[in-house]
Amino acid sequence: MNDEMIVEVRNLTKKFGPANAKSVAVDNISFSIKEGEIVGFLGPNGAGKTTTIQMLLGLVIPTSGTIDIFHKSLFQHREEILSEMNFSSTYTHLPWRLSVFENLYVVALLYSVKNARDKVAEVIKKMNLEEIKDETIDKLSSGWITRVNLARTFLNNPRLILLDEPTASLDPEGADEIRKKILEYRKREKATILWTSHNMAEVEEVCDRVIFLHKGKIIAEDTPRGLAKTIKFCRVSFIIEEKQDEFLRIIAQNKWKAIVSDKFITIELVEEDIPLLIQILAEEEISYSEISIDKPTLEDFFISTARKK
Amino acid sequence: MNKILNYSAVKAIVMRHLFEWRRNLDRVVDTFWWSTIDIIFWGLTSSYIKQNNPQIPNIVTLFLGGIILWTFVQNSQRDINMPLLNDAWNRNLVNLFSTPIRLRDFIAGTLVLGLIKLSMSFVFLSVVAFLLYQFNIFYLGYFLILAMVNLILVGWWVGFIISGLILRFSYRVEAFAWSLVFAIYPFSAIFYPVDILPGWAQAVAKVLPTSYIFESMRSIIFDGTFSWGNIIISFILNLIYLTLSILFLKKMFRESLRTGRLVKLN
Repeated sequence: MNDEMIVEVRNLTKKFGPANAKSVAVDNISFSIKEGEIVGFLGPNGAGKTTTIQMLLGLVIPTSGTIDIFHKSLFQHREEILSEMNFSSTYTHLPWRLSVFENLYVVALLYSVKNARDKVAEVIKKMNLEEIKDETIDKLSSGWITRVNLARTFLNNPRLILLDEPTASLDPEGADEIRKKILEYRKREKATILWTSHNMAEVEEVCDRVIFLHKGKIIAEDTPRGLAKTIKFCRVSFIIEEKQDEFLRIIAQNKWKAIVSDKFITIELVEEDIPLLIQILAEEEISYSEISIDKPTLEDFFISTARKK
Repeated sequence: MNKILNYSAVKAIVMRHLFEWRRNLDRVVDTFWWSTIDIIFWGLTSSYIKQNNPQIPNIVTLFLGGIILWTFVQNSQRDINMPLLNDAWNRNLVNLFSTPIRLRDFIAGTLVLGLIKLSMSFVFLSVVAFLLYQFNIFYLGYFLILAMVNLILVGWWVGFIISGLILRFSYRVEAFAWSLVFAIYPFSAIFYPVDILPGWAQAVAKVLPTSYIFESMRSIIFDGTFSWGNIIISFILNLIYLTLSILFLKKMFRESLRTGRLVKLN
């Protein structure tokens, strides 16, 4: 990764609806993405992620603000910029009566790829799509369709890729394979990626940095670990079969939060209080058979931020 | 990138719909079926009228010529609108317009595609009319080429208006794609002269390029005469409407990007 900025968004705002009752989908956001960086774009539904991506693709005209990609204004150099970008979303479909090869060939032509047929054959091979290349899209499973969608994304060797929930609807194994393909491409081509997902573990795994949107505004921006660290609470889980009532009384006295499910008890407390909790258990001779400590994750940050706001 | 047309993108549009066309019975039916039914139905009807009214000359020629020529309006209009609707139905519009394609490349692609399909349906209908009724459309001579050009232009500008309306009003007006063109059908005076229309309808016919073409067709069939004036008026009207319809479509496309309707149509 170097320090060259590939994407620079300044004071971007998008309002929809009639002049007297406009709703603000994106509210004066600014951010940059460096070359080779993978940036997670997170936020609850309606946060403005999709609208921002649509503006980055030139599909929606902003109400105000600027978008520079590859140091050029998107509004003045749309075709030039889009020819070096690509986009993949689980929520857009490929024409379902076209075969995999035909679909990819059409996309290659749309991007003016030289020797389009050869390039399509090359991508089909790299993405292990040979066995389904003559099948029409309507005959494929969602796993195969996601792979074809991703193959489509690599056809023009893009320098910038926008991915909208690329692994939604996949089983864990399929999602892992897709992530590997994307990371391989990024490493090989030094590509820059903007990645939206509701899978927080995935974002923690692949993203260098996260931009968190809520109600159209950027409310946090840091590494996944950095954002998770802003959550002070962690969870300690035990299996306690005896003296459960006594234990819960002590928890209440210390104003910790407990979640009880039969013999399983989870305590939510600040990390510094964990030694105190263990000490109390020892002093009161409350025995436990299992203990696990879960540090805060990006998902905790996501849930707590979404609830707070 | 600032070329007038991105030929690769134009080819992409043509190939995308031709690939689908051969696998989609609906589209094949659109291209051949309805016009063939019209030919058979009106051919039989006019043959029957001719049998019982031998004093009416060239009645079969009038009906079959009118139907085949109207096919140019109807099919060229539909072939402008169906690619847009098809990509919307396939939820492919976002994929499509997130590539470097421009509106003009998309339009050019649909025009080329329309011309390919129109050529196929014209050859097919001409053969059907000849085999069933010994009707030779080429009897109209070079007028046929002038009429074809003008009627295709009519289909294009009607199609551009409908595409603009679809971008503005979404699926609420998708039925326009196969119905709106028939609003000009009665005023086009395909099978009867403009003179028999009521006064207000004659006024409408006078501003429609189609009425001049079909008036000319009847002059050739009944009198063997041909008026360049009608062709020129039709052509001028077409150029005016074509320009206005392209400006309208461009405005609606821009509006759909501003309001987010293009992605909602997806």
